[in-house]
Parts: sequence; C-alpha cells; structure tokens
Amino acid sequence: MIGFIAFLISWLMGYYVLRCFKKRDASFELMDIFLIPGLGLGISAQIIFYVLLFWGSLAPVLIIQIHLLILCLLFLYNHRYLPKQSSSFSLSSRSIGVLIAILAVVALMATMLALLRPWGDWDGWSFWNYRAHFLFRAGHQWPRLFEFNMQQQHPWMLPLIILWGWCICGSEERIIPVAIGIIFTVASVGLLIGALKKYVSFFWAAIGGIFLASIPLFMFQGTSQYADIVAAYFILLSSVLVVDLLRSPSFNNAALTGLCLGLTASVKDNSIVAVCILLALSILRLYRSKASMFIKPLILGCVTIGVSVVLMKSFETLNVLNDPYGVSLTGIGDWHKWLLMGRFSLTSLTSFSWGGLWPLALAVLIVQRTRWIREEMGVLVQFLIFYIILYFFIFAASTLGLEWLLKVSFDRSLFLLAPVVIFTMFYSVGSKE
Amino acid sequence: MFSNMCASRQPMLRSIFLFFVLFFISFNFIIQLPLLINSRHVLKAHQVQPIGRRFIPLIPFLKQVSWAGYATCLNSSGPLTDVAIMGPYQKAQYALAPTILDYFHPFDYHYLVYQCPGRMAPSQFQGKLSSYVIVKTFRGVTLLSRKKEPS
Repeated sequence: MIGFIAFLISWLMGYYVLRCFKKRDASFELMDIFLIPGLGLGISAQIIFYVLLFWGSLAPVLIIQIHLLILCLLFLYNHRYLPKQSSSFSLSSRSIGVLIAILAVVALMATMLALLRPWGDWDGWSFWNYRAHFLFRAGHQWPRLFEFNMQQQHPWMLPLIILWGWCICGSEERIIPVAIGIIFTVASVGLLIGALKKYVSFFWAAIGGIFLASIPLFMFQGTSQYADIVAAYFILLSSVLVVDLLRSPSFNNAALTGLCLGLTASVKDNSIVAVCILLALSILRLYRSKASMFIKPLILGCVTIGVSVVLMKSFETLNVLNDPYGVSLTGIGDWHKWLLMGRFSLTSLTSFSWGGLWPLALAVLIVQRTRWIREEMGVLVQFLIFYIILYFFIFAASTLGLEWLLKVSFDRSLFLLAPVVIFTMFYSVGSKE
Repeated sequence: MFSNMCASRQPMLRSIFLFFVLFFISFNFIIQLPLLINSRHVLKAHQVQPIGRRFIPLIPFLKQVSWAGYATCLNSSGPLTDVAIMGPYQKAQYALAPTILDYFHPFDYHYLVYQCPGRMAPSQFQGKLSSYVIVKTFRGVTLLSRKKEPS
C-alpha cells in the first residue's frame, strides 16, 4: 500500500502544475480532475529518466528527494503568487452521484479483471514490466537493456512510472503495475466524461463514458498492464486539449497542450505517430485562423518533453546491436497485402470485442459529415483518418508476416483511438449546431 | 440539402443513436458477465507463481554475468513469432535480468542456458561447447559453462 504514496505525490504535483497553466480567473473544471493523474505521473516519469541519465543509475532516495523538492517549490509558488481557485463543475449533486457510481463500477470491473491476470498479458510482463524490472535491478548497467533487441523499441513512460512506485516501495511490488492499469482505465473513462461535459449535457457525457467502459476490448486491454491504456488516455487528453486550443486560443492553453502532446509522445511509438499528426493539424489550423502567435508556446511545450523522447529513441538506436524488424516499401504495392488487411479489418472491427464501436462511428461519420468540415472538431476526424491510413501503410511495409502482425497489433493500434472516436461521436450527436 | 434535412431531423437522429448505444451497452455488459462472474476466483497473493519460475534456480550462478547464450531443443522457421520458443525465452530473460540472454548466437558466451521441455540431455551442446553442466533442474533447464574462456 505504501506504493500509493508515489501516486499521491505525483497527483499533487500534477495539480500544482495544472494550476500554473490556469488563467488567474479560471476555475477548475470536471475534466481537470482526470487530467491531473496523467500530468503528474508523466512528470514523475520525466524526473526518473533524467536521474537515470545524469546520475548513471536508479537512485530511489534522490528521486524521492527531487519529487519532494519540486512539490515544495510548486506549493510555495502556487500559494504565494496564484489566487485561490474554485471548482466550477456545474454539476448537480445527483449528477455527481451518478459520476461517482459510474467510476466506482468501472474501478470494480477493472480491479476484477486485473486481478485475474496479476502478471498482465504477454507484452505486459515480457516487455513493459521487464524494462522496469531490468532498470530496477541493473544499477549503473541499465543502458545494457537496449543491447539485445528482440522486440520493437518504445519510449519508456510506463516502465518509469512503475519504477517510481517501486522506488517508494523499495522492492518490485506486483501491485504497482496492476494499480497503474486500473488508474489509467478509470481516468480514461473520467476524462472522457469530463471532456464531453464541456460541450454536451451531462446525460450524453455519462452515456459516452458508460459506452467506453462497456467495450470488452477496452476493459480487457486496460488491465493487461500494456502501455496501450496509458497511450489511449494521453491521446484523448491531447485531442481534447487541441480542440480546446482551437476554440479558445491562449498562451496558457497552447503551452499546456504542447506539454501534454510531449507526454503523449513519451508513451509508445504509436503515440509518437499520433502526436506528429495532431501537432501538424493544430499548427495548420492555428495558422489559417490567424492565431499563429500561439504556435510558438505549443511547440515550446511539446519540445520540453520531446527532448527526453528524442534522447530515449537515440539511446535505443545507438545501443541496439541487432534489429529483427524492418520495412520494405515494395510491400506497399502488393495488392494481396491490402486485400488481406481489408478482410482482416472488416472481421476484426465488427467483432464482439469492439462492442459495436466502429459500425456506430462510421454511421455517425456519414450522417454528420457536413459538421466535420465546418467545426473545430473536424481536426479530430482528420486525425483519426490520417492515423488509420498511416497504420495501414506501416502494416503493408513491414517485413514481418502480415497475418501475424495484424493478429497482434491491429486491434491494439486502433485501441488507442477508441476514447477519441467516442468523444467525437458524442460531441457530434449531443451538441447543438 | 442533406445538411438541412439532418438538422431538422436531429432529434430523431439522436433518438436512433441513443437506442443503438444503449443496445450495444447492454449487449456488451451481458457478454462480459461470464468473465466477471469467473473473476470471483481471483488468485490470492500466495497462489501467484513468479514469471520464469523454472529459471529461478539459475539466478545465483548468473548474478554477475552480463551475457549468456540461450538455446532450446525446439526448432521453428520463424522463431520470433513462435510462442513455443519465445515464451520460455522471454520468461528466462525476465527471471534472470539483468543478465541478457542471446538467442541468435548462443555459443558465443561463457555460459549457456539450455531449455528443453522433454528434459533431453544436452550432450550435443556439451561436445560443441566443450562445456560442463553447472546446474540441471527437473523442469528441463540446464546451465552449461565452458571449460575455457572463449578466445
């Protein structure tokens, strides 16, 4: 249980960092509650990465000291320079009760599913937890982790968050990766409800959250200890902030969006692709809407975290001795591959595990197609379409067996988009034109 | 014209959308029910076996070892995607971390972890490596060592 102190410290840090980005007169919204865990844990992962890099080994005491120091500085800054902020959830006590009930049921379901698989699924233990396990045990030899590559390389946010819990516990407690899965599953549902609440009535927001939680693949994947749920959470967060930025551009909004885009990129390779698309689309839209002065803080916020992602990726590239993965552009022209992908995606997206999400999303996309062109939300539709098309090209170009690749990665690549798809659908249907 | 038609029919579209969403929510919860009912039998802490349990007896011998070879008696044309090969290999990696096990060049190192579910004696490896057995477990895992340092 002592490991939960780590999460508490990160959340407090996230709260104070978020307050720094709020305008002096702005108050906390429902979405902010669910933004805080991701922001705080993401910053903790950054701290651990830089300690590993500059100290040369995992130093739990130093990591805890740095966390406490930053927390104290943020506390003093917030109480000295920022006015007291109030919450403006604008929710009736009945709605708050419904929200708590939804989150409690999701937490219960997630806990039950997580405890069925205490080691997580295959990549949970063999890749993500293995990395944390290796970094925890290897001392100053931690860079050797990348010397022998049998799996695709990814940025390290999830292993670093696990390490943060283990630093507080002092040992490799099994409950930490399990708890991280549950926290991000519940936070994703909460974030979706909070984000939708900004644009539609609480009724539609709650239905959207329940629909996400009801998708079998979402709950199962969320508790499998993969980084997919962390990436899904951060992609939703970045998407919502990008829409918010386009609707009401401000320096603080742009910097916070940039920071969250940077954190999103530090989760997985898939999320780096998502961030590149989102960043390009938002810069283009800001430029077109004569709000180009906000591009600079957006990029600056993104670069602040992006530096660590570049360092992580270059570290892997420089240290890796063998790379069994490759791409061949000739594969893109092979129509057999496209036929196989078409057949596979049709079967997969209409299966029970997706809970009817994709047929419903396609129907909404067609019926509401005129709205996408006119409104800010169109940026999300463009993002979803570009991401899906890009991944089809990546699958076609991979030198690995396509059938195997589709089987292990197709659903997972689209899983990251599920919360954004639901957000877009419910915004479109629930909001007034 | 299409957009005007949609705008005027927005309440109806909303009702249809709500109907389908509620239908899918109910259906999704019903199909997940058996899994949730089964999860009553969650494993207790003492029932959870550590990952790579069969490789744990090798830990004391590989404590200060950076690299070791890994070999198995199973063959496959695509070992990277073969669960029967990658499963035990990755479990060994996990259990023996931070020792890195090289699957592609197993005979280049002083130590070799040999895993064979059928408990076959690795005599062919012993001859090839000029090695001796350090430890052999009843679960089909053998740790071999060269008699001399590789040149």
